[in-house]
Amino acid sequence: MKILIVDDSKAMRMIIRRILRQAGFQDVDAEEAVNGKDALEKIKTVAPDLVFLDWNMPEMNGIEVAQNLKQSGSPIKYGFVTSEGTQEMKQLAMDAGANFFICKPFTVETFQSELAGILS
Amino acid sequence: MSHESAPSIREWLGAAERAAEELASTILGIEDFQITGHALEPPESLVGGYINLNNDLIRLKLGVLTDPEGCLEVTRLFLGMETISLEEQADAWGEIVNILAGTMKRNLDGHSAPIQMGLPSVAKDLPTLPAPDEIAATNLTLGKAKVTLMLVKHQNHGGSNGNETPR
Repeated sequence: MKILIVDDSKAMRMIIRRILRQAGFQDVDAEEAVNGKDALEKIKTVAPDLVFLDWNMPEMNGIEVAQNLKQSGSPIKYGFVTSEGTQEMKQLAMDAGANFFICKPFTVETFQSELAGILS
Repeated sequence: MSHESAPSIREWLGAAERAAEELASTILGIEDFQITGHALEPPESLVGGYINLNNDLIRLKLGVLTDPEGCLEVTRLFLGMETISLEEQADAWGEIVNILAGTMKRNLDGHSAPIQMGLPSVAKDLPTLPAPDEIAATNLTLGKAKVTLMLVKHQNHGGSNGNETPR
């Protein structure tokens, strides 16, 4: 499975890769993007099956990417890994078609439970 | 609490303390988390991460301060790596500040009017600020690292969106 990790922090992109391995999702081919604009470009070239979106990023934020994917009718699954986790923002994410919503700081178990039905 | 009775700076700081404890017990894997005081005494050799949170009523700046050794200690645990460049430390410290601010905000979800987070920045100095309406701090230990959470509060009179220069 191809995944795209979208976060402006290199540290967080590394941590998500590590957590995915620790959560038992070994069979993933991970690419990275550093903001929303970069993500939309990479989605065209990489054609990922699943996209992990940060919320707050320069250039274009995660919710704009999600809304773009929903409006375009993309079959790609996507969700958020973000420090933003208010009920209002979760609702915005779900309205934009998000398949999961993981709040930072997270645990391996959080990834396992949120992604079990998607990455299995 | 309700939106009409907005959280006090002590309530915001308490939410930040709980955020730090949650970060310690999850990604950092630190059991030794202790609050050691509430005096703002920045280390002489400072690494500071800062992020702004704004709404129509207030502007908050959360600062997460430590010394270079503390920064290395915490970012090693955060990244799960022994050898980390200064650039990687700065990026990781900024992300830690981002997580603490987001968790602080989440901890007061429903008790505060919606508040927008900016992007974090990392510097070797305390920020130059207009005289704050209120300032509060908590000193704590994350493992061997001594860390200070600093909150600066201004009443909002409009204008700035408060975003830091992206890292």
